[in-house]
This record gives sequence, C-alpha cells and structure tokens, in this order.
Amino acid sequence: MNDELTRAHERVTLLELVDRVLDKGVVISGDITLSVANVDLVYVGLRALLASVASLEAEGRRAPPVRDN
Amino acid sequence: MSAAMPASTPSETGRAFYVYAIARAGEARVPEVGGVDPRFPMRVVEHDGLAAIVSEVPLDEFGEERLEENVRRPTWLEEKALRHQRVVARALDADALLPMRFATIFATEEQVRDMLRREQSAFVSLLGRVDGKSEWGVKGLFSRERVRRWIESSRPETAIVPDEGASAGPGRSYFARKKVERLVDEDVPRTTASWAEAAHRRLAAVASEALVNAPQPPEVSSRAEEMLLNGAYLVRREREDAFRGVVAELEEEYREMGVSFELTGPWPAYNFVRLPGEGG
Repeated sequence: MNDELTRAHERVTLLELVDRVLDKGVVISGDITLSVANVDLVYVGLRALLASVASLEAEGRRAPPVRDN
Repeated sequence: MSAAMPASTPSETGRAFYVYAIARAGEARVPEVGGVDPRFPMRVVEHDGLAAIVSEVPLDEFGEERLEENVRRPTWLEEKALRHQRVVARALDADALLPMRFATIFATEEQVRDMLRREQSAFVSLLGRVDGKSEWGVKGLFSRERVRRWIESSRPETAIVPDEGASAGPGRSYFARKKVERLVDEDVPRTTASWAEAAHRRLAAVASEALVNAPQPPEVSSRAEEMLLNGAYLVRREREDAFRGVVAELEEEYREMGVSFELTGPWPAYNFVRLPGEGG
C-alpha cells in the first residue's frame, strides 16, 4: 500500500515535470535553433510517454511492488 | 576559449549546444550533475551580464532528424526530460532563473551568445519578474459521483422532484428520477467550474502571477478523479507559507464536496517565462 502510494506520487510528479519541461519554458524562435519544442512531435512523444506510464501503472497493480532505494 | 574554436562547426565536431536555463552572469552556477548527455560537462556561456547554462550534445542523438525520432520514444523522452529538469533544479539556487523548453539546441557556442544578445532586454525583464519567486502547481481533483451527490443534497429542485415522483406511481417515478439525474449531470460542469474559479482566485491573491492550464484528462494520470483546476502560481519565497495555508484551507473547505487539492513545487518558473511576441 505504501509502495503503491509512493509510486503513485512519483508518477504524478513525473507528469507534472514532463508537462513543464516539454510544454513550457522559454521558447526561442529563429532559424539558428534546432529546437523541436514547438513541433507537434513533442506532443506525440508526450502522449506516448503518458501512455507508457499508464500501462506501467496497470502492470504495477499486478506485479509485486518494486522500490529502487 | 571560444576564440580557439571559431572553425568548429557542428558538422566537424558532431556536437551542438543544449541550453537549459538563463540566469544573470554573476548568479549562474554550473550545476554539479550530468546533463541530457552526461558524457559532456555542464558549462556557462556568458554575454553582457547574462549566462546560459549549457552542455554539448551529440548531433547523432540531438540533431534535428534524430531528435524527431527520439522524442517519439517514451523511454528516451522521459530520461532526457528528467535530466533537463535535474539540471534546472540544481541551478535554481540562482536568485532568478529562466528555464528553457526541452530541446533548445544551437549549432555553435557563438549562436548561444547571439541568442543572449538578441533577447537581452527580454531576458533581463523576465529575470526581474521571477526574481525571488518560485512556481507552484495546484491541481484540484474531484470525484464526479461525490459532486453529483453534493448537488442533489444542496439543490432544492433536485431534492423536490424525487418526492413528487415517489407519490405519483412507478412510471412517473422513473421519469422523475431520470429528470433529476439529467439536471444534476448538467449542473456538474457548472458547479466544478465555479469551484475552480473561486479556488484559483484565492490562490492567485497570494501569488505574484497566476494562470490556469487546461485540466489534464483523467487517463493521463490514470486516476479515478477528474481535474477541475490545473493552476500555476508564481509565489514570492516569503509568501510560500501563506500560499500553503490557502491550499490547506481549500482542502479543508472542499473536502465535503469530494474535491481535493494537490500542491507541487517549488518549480523553476516554467509557466511564467514567455518571451514577448511568442505566439500561441
């Protein structure tokens, strides 16, 4: 239960983080940057990441809790 | 140092410059963590009172085409986004810090300086705005079933209709019940929106700046609750206790409606560093 809560909390924090790092922050425009920040691709990647987190979570409900510390 | 490598073009070195954050030159410190590619050390590139926290990245991983492929790979994206944030978090000790969006990459160090030169006045003004403040995130979450129950018990019209139905035979009772359900369903968005607005107003009153992002859909967090508020708040360090206090008050007041509030932070001011003229 405790492990589950910890994992759930970490997941929420990860989502918060990804939401900011990939979607917010200073956006520099101009042709010298190689940034893909404004491109839908990051959104595609974000959706894929969120989907994988969600499926990990689903597996986690069946698998025994794993802690990395 | 840069004078020694004027001829280094990305195609020759196979590397480019990944920028994590901007700070004032005197305040920027090199974070003692690995960057998005930990093989290359963190460095500071300065120009005219501003400093960019950077590290080199290999083009075979971060070049435009490869980057487009890599961002589609969840494990790659997650690892690099975590590394990006770790660098920015370690640099947050600077009094004021502007976090860059993921994958802000320049071909050469000179182009990083050009960027500092070009955006100088905008960066100085943004640094002033975030100075001494941190970003906090507050998410308001609700259980649809509990909000429905709260509406049923608090709205006279939804309370009266079932009584009418009960005294008018089973047929009408069924339709009366359906009517109440529809009334309540229609009322959920209005009710949660008004709660979100009230909560946001109170949080914003303690913050220097505040904004609301679109609520994340429930499948994103794989939570049963739905999101009614996804707020970001730029809060002076000395007001952090007051801000936490408001979150605690909201938590207490909204508990009976089945609403909870989730606080995260302190974050670098990701939500409050838009350059003027940036579209979208």
